[in-house]
Amino acid sequence: MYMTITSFQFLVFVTTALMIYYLVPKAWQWVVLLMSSLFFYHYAASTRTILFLIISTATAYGSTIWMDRIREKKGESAKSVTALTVTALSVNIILWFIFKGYEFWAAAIKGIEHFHSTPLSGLLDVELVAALGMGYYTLQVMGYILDCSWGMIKPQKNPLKLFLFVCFFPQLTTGPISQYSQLETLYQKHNIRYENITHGAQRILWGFLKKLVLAERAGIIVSGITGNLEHYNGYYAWIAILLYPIQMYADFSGCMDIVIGVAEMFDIRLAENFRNPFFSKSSQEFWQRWHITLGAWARNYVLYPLMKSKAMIGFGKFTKKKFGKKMGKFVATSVSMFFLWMVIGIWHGGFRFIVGVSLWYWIILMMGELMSPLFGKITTKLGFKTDSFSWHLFQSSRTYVIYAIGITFFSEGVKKGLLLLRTATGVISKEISNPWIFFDGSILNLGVTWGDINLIIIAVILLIIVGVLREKYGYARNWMDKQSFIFRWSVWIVLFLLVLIYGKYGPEYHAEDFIYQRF
Amino acid sequence: MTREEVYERLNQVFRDVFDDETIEVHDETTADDIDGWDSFEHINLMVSVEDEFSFKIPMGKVVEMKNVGEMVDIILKLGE
Amino acid sequence: MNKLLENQKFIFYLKRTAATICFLAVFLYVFTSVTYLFRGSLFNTFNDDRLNIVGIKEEEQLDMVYIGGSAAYCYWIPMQAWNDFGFTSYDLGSTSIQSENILYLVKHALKYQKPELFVIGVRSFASYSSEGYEAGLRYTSDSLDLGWDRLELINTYYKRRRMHENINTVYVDIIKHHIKYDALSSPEAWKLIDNSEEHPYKGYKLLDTHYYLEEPERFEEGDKSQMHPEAEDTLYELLDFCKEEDLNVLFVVSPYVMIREEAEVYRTMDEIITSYGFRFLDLNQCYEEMELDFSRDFADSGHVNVLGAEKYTKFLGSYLVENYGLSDHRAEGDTGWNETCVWFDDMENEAKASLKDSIASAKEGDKIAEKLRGIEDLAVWSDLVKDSRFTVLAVGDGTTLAEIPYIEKKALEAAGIANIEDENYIRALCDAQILYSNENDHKTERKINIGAKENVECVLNNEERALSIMIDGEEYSRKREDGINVVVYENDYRYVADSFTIQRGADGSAELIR
Repeated sequence: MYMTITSFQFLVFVTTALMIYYLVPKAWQWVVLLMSSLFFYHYAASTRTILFLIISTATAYGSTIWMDRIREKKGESAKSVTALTVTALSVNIILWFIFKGYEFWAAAIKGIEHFHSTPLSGLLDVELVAALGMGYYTLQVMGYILDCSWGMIKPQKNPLKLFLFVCFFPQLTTGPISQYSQLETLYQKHNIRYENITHGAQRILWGFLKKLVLAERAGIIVSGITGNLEHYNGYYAWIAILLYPIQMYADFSGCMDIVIGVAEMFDIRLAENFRNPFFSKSSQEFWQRWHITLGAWARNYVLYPLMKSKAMIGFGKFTKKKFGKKMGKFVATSVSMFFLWMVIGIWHGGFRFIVGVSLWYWIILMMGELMSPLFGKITTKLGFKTDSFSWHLFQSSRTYVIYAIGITFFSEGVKKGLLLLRTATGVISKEISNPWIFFDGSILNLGVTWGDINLIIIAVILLIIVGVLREKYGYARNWMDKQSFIFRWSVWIVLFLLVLIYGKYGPEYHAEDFIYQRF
Repeated sequence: MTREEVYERLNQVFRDVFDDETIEVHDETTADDIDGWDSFEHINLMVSVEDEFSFKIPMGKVVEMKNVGEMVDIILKLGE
Repeated sequence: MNKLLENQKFIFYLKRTAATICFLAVFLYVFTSVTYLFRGSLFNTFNDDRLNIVGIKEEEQLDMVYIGGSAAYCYWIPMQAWNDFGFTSYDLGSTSIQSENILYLVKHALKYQKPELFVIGVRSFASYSSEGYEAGLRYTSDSLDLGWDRLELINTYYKRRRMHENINTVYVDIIKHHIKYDALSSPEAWKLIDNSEEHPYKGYKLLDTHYYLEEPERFEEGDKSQMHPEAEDTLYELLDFCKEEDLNVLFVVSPYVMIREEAEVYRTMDEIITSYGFRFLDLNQCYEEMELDFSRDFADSGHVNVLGAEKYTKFLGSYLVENYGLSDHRAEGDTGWNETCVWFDDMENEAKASLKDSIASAKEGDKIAEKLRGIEDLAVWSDLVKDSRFTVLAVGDGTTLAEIPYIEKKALEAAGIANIEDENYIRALCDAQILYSNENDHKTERKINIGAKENVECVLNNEERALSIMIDGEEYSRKREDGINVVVYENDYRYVADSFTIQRGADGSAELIR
């Protein structure tokens, strides 16, 4: 029995853990969190894989304590600290690569086999069971090691406390990716506070709504279309492409809501991973609002060290000399960004992500940078009111479509993604163009009813309303708190009923894994 | 170095990085005050400062820096 | 000043606590109501079970409560008991009742009633299996009020049986039922949103179909066998409770087609139950006293129809009055029961009339079947056999019949036997309607269910060596490879009326060869 975050068992588990948490002496609260995380791991994954978390933690613990000792003795001595850091990081990267980078090294082996038969091919059959949340905790551990090696934080002396940082159950399976300094609150004392419990519960409810009511429903339409592209061609492809970002967003951010809400009930603040990404005016802004903690991690631990490195600085000087100041800077930036995006793509663990995320966005952002002066001239020449709501709407739509195109590779892989895109462009020819499907009810053939479609629309409208409230008040709940209790109670009860009645859960449905739980 | 001397050189660095000859920074200046000072330009700026004052800014400081005043403090401490 | 502040703080916390409790109360109320609303369509049919179980809440004083499965609520007619004896009763039944459910139905009844007597049907104990039956549990647990008793029932059931369904979906049944959106548009479901609604006929379910049965084997004397250990524990649990609460209980087994193993279990149960001071009555020993006629009074091998229920109620009713002193309330003025009886009477008479018609029709069918064997003329035969009381099975090689006279082909077609020229010919027909034809799928073997209740297994095989028409494991075809083998099956009395082959005679016309 595998417990997932949207299961009834999980809710019961959280309730029990909360009660114990607030009843024990406060100095023991972190132990409750640790025990709960282990319990969760046992019921959510194959238990023996926790070995990998232990190895990662041990590596981090050993290397950072050692580093600290070296520093105490020799001052800020660089070489041995660097060596330790590199070793510790490598262990984690190698572990990650073996289990999560399967697609890459399997492809490499297949490539070699093509020319030369070697015993390596046996490796392809080995059954690999990765640890739960390997993609996420590996990044956290690596961040911790680097923070220590840069002297930004003092290493955690208690190995069990460090282990808690690695395996804290709300964020283990899907993030957000936290920095050690953000999670030191794990070891502090926590009083039970009314706001934490109520806001946390409200947030969890909201997350369930997004995931079970919206994401799952949209998913039926999308997978119905992509599962049968010969039949569902023309404008159907548009529906799938443009609906998938909604599914993805509702799924991932809904999951975040549940995770953050659960942590909040324990009085632990986790970082936000989303901030109205589709309100973004540009793709650059988009990545500051989408999967924020991944971007932040990549920036802090990949981009900055890279750009500060002697090699990069030297390269920058070289390009400035060769291509002039502006162009030289652009080339140097492009190269750095390329590395950054490749890391992000590789972390997702597949070639499809390298195409759909890394390459796609690298090209879009570089093009955007290159063309921005030109576009600026055009918009002023044509007299577009760049301050207006309609212009913002245009920009958001553009961002949305760019994301939609990149994301087609996400679920379908490179080949199928290209096929989907090609199918979409097919509407140019009159033979394939089929705009009547929007009006004649053929969408119902995909296994949804008009009720389902209405629900999707209502849910999206709710999301937009809440998004606007968020932009204005920081959090929609801040606005909610000010409303009368009858309004608030009605809202919570109605939302609860929407999830209870229209949520896609129960023995009739399979416990759908979150899309982002595979990383 | 005095604080004023630092600012003289620092202003030039800013003007260079952000391609704007009118920039004048002081202790309270933050990223919000300068157009184009995003997280990406931030690291370019850091690298340029390192280059100008011939020292290495510790990684911790790169991220934690709140305003130009703090930057100047570090330069005074570690730079030439 | 401090005291005032403290007061304000205290008031604030008090307000907040009160608000939280209020909210939780509202929330629970909404949750409970939605749960009850969506139970509306249990297992996709609106069955009367839920109405049985919630209906007892709406009853006024009940003298007797009869608890059991369909073996209870198809047998006991409360309206008749009132008419004939003047005591009030109710069928608190649940389909496919599981032995564990009985105790909790007793508890449920006691929450709303103080009957003088409980009658408990115990057939479920003899068919107790280690394998759990989710539906059997749910017919009760998904009808009871949300509460501790219900929780206990589910726990007990899961403890004793092997179950595949996740227990959480049984505890919180809305998890399973929430997708049945037709509850939202159904007035019946909305009426049950408070889990309480009057049952129009006091829990009785009227069956108006007829199923012919032979007189079953009697098991008057014999061995006792061990009960299933969990069944025994369940029985003891029930008996302990009844004793503790000082209840008057009569345990019964209603009449049906029993098997020896079950009889042996009932004997053991007799011993156990009597040892507690309760009475045990196996009504399968009383067929004569009840004047039960298996050829007319049953709707299937486990349940009586309204004719049988009448007899059952009459017999058991007088037994109860005699042995348990139930008083006659008919003189006490109008309690609404008289009204119900009048209204039920009409329904009952209609049902009995329809039953009598179907019994008569079956007898007629029997007579026709007798004649069939003597008929040589194809046309006469087709005419007779084109009747919903007969199933015609045809298997064989009809190529030689391609040249028979047109008139004869037409005659056969009238009975449904069309296109006989096929080399691989398999047909199953009833009243000229095709039950199965291998015209499209060209199969050489097929299993179907025939008979009035479609519960008799029939295998049609047209493979060269194996040519056969088997019904309930017995072979009936003439097994002639040349021509079409035909077997005629009588649906109501369930026997083979005729078996012959249609072959081409010397003069080129078709002949019935027996």
